[in-house]
Amino acid sequence: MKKTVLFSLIILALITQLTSCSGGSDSTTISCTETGPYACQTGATEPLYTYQWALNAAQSYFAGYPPVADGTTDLNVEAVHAQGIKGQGVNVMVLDDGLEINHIDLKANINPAMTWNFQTNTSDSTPSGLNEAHGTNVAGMIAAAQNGIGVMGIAPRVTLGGAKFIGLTNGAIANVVEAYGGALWSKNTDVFNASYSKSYIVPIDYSPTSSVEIAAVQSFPNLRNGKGAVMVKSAANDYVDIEVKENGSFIYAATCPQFEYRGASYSLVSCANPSSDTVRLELPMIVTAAANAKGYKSSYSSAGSVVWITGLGGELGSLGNYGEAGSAEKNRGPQIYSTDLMGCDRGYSKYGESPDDAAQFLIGGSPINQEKNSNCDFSQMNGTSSSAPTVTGVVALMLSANPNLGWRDIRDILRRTARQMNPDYGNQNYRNHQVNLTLNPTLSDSTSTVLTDGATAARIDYGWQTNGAGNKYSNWYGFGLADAKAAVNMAKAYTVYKPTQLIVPIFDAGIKDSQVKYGEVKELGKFSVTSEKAMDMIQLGFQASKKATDEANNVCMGSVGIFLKSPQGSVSVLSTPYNVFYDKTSHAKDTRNGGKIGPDSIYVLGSYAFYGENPKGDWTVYAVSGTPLPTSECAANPRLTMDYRIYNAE
Amino acid sequence: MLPFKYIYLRSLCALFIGLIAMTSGLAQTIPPIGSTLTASDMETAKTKTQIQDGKSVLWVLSTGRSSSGPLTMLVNEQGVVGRSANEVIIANSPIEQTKLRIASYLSKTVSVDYVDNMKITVLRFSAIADAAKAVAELRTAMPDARITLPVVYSIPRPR
Repeated sequence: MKKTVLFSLIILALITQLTSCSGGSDSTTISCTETGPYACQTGATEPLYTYQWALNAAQSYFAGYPPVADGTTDLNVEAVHAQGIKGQGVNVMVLDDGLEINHIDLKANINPAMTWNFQTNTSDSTPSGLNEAHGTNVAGMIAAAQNGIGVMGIAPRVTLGGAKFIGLTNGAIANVVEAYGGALWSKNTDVFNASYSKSYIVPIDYSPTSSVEIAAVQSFPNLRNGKGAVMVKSAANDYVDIEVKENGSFIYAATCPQFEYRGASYSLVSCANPSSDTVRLELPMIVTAAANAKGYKSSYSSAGSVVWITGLGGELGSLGNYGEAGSAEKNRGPQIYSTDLMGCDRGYSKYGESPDDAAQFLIGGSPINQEKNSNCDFSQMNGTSSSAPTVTGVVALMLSANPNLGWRDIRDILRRTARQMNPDYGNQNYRNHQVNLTLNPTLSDSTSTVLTDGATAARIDYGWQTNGAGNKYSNWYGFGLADAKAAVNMAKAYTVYKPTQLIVPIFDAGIKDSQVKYGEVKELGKFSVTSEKAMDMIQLGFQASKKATDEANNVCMGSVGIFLKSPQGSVSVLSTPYNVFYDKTSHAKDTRNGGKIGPDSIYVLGSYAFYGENPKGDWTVYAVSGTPLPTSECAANPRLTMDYRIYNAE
Repeated sequence: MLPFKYIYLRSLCALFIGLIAMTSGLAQTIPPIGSTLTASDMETAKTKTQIQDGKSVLWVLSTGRSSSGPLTMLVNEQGVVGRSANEVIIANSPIEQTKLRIASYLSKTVSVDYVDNMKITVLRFSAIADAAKAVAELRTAMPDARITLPVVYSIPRPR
């Protein structure tokens, strides 16, 4: 009997050793050539790994708390780590509010030749502000080392660079071209992480072709010796409202309407459209939404048709000991554990935090903090600021597995390997009900998806859809949740590389001088496409039509939703009515005017929902328009002119 | 912990210290970038110098200098206040080709940066009108290049 037990234990040990080098549950044996003390091991070597649910949900501490975590939603990274693929040879650049270069869990991976501080004009990117911990948290999610200390990044052997780039205390605007690959310290970047963005409460003019940031991003294909770099960018946290600030201080929350139905209110639209920051319309920009540990869109995560992929960002409020308290339904749950500015006098984990706002782990001097985080070197952070670096980490693993991937290949693999999540969300919480366009803002009983010219109600959310090329897309999740194992496997097998040149097409004339009717669905018109090349993004540029007289012709885009139907019958909601441009609070500084656009500016929207479709044929553009508020500055019966351009999928 | 809700206490005031010496009559009341002018202020703004860039129109609120060089405050048609460093960006053009095309503009620039690995050239002009004129002309002369007159309407913040 004892011999049998001993034999069984030996066999078990052998199997364990083999699986540790074979990608976990993989049925095929995969060799691991990594060397060193942590070779071919997962993050289980790190003391805080149990809180890193995004890396292993099933064995996470939070798996024991079903109201906040489902125990299955993660990025599927362990099989990749067990193969010894941990980001080796890949340069990641974190552009943020700084990066603490001497952090105990980061410094092993930081390349001092890849750091910069636009505030001090030195190579020390460590921020000076006590609360400037954002970039250090972002960096840890990607690149915290595997060393038996703290947490582990998704790519724990990546080469890390970073810059003090945003939030400059002298009010200067950092040099975007330098940061985006044009300086010695940034030029060798493979992947940029941009957990920042601009927000607008009025439509912003797309031109004067107007942004140095757009020019720099359009030049990314020149980097990596012509293979091209990508930038992973947060979709923003403006689903509920936009916090308006002035000189850095909070002024008021720019809200959006809630929709009433049977005595309750529902939040059906993303207050801000990610495309409002027009750099998100650029193809090398991988726009990333956030999901929580329950496998559902994070409550704050902005939604729109330029979202490419979803990463993990956790929920709005993280309370209890580690973030296990409350429920995801109440916007509570764990966030993403990471590195923080070191010491309990600064960062997000520090003395004086309140249990009403922070988990005990973050409260300097609390018993939990003393036991697990006594020097406050670690923290947790939410937001699409967190989901973006989780995807950046996955991209680093892909490039580590196959350094020959070009920028289009990276996007392609992320898209093709993404997992559909929350497939029925479009039918939940009355999202499938039509919105009344004259009775602001209420829902009707109808759930029809048909767009009827002249109708006074319409669906404004279609949930997940399968387009004419068979691709599933959602404004909440893009193509779905990133999957590291599937992405790395595809990267390793990838042999036919896409061209890296970025051809920016010119806008073609689409619809001229078509009348908008507030309170109705209005077919603005059709435009015809002759190309048969599979498409990537389509962009529509709107202007209020010029009138022969000086009569005003402002169109209030806060009330006007733009829906587009492809020749193959797919429908994309490029913007919703009742967005942040629509509303107005009583705050004296709330100067919103209905989101008016005139004839001398261009309002551009984009969509990935038709990805892969043959665009040949007639496209139909609809204005699904609510009724503007009386305070809006809208012309009666305004007319819109629209141009379009289509990027090929290559 | 609500990092993105965290109120960013970094003051942008210093940016506007450099605007004190601005020459326009509106200079003392120029609001921060990203803010929206009232309808009456917009009417006043539309009497100022107009800058045309493609289909878009901007009006100059003030001109001056910041610590990093020339600075022009503008307002767009929606009434949003923006900032230009009087820069012209020429992208998607090899540097040697760009140099040949921009030679005649150099006398009106305060600096030129060549970013070879990105095929980008950044020209900074003394005056926004010269920058806008250069953009219009270079777009014709360099049809394969992407030429922009950047205006910043918002400061990025953690998201």
